[in-house]
Amino acid sequence: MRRWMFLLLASLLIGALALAGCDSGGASGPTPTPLPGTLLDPPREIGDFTLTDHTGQPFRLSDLRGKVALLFFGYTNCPDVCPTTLAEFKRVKALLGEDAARVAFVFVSVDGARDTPEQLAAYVRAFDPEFIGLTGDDATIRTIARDYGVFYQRVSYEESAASYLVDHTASTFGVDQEGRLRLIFSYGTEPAAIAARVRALF
Amino acid sequence: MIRMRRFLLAVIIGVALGALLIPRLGDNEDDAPSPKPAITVRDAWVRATVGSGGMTGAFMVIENAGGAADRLLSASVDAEIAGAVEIHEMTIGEDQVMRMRPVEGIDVPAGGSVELKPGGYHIMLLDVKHELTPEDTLTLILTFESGAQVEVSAPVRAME
Repeated sequence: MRRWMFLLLASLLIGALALAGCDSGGASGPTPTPLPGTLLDPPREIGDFTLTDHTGQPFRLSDLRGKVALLFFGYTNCPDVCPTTLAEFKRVKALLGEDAARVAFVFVSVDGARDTPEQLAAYVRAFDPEFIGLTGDDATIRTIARDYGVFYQRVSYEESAASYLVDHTASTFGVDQEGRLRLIFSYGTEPAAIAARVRALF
Repeated sequence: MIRMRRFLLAVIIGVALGALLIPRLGDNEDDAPSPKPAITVRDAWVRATVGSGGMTGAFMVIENAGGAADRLLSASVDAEIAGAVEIHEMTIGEDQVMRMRPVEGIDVPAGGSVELKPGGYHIMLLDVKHELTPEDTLTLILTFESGAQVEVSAPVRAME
């Protein structure tokens, strides 16, 4: 009799622990499909940085404390991934409605040689006058990129008249209100999913 | 008897001439390799630029109604629009790194189509001579391995 009860209790305990381990949100009900995007838990501490914004003024990431910042690393001569992402940022902003005031949308150039503040200003404003474009010297961009896990490099091809193209990580990064890296989205993540993940940080 | 022979001779000559001439009646262009173009292009557009001197992409759907596979080899625009035109392919690896590289051509399968769209192939306009805005429409000439040349009208679309 006792052994039987002991085994039952042990199984229940193990079961409860297993369930608790599988789903941090609670063991009741079916597991919801997780939203696209990676939520860093714990958040990754990243350094503050200073770059030049599209108005030619110094800009620090810490200037955005209190807001969630969505960042994308690209360059203005990129005909595909970069404008597509900024167009998606526009959709995220629209989906956030009034909450958009709590979010900053930032485009960081990995091509400081060609992307001057003036070039960036025309570029980001073509999408939304509130978007922020950042540029700077390559050494600073390198350090920032390393913090985020962003790869970029100039590539030249003999068969191409372009002096160089820039391969670069196409992910979107979310920095929380305390300036820590919290979210990473693959290129092409649905704007609705990004908006939902951002809202969860409020 | 002689009349019969002459008649037959006339018929033979007539048929021979007819065989030579009739297929040419459908020809409107001097340099078209075949009377009906197998390759058609639709939904072409070019992305607007910021300023000049940079690069931008042209996108479209190429359809091949013919029985033989073909291949886009090159494209051109007026020199006043861009200094060079190339065909590029964009790929994103599992590492999430986007890479673009020039390619020698794009296959268009027989009876099929290929789409040049963001995320894949595009025609790259380099050294753009003046800012391209949605008021512009560009004319591109696409050249194929079969010898076909297709003129494409591509309106410029805003960045967003």
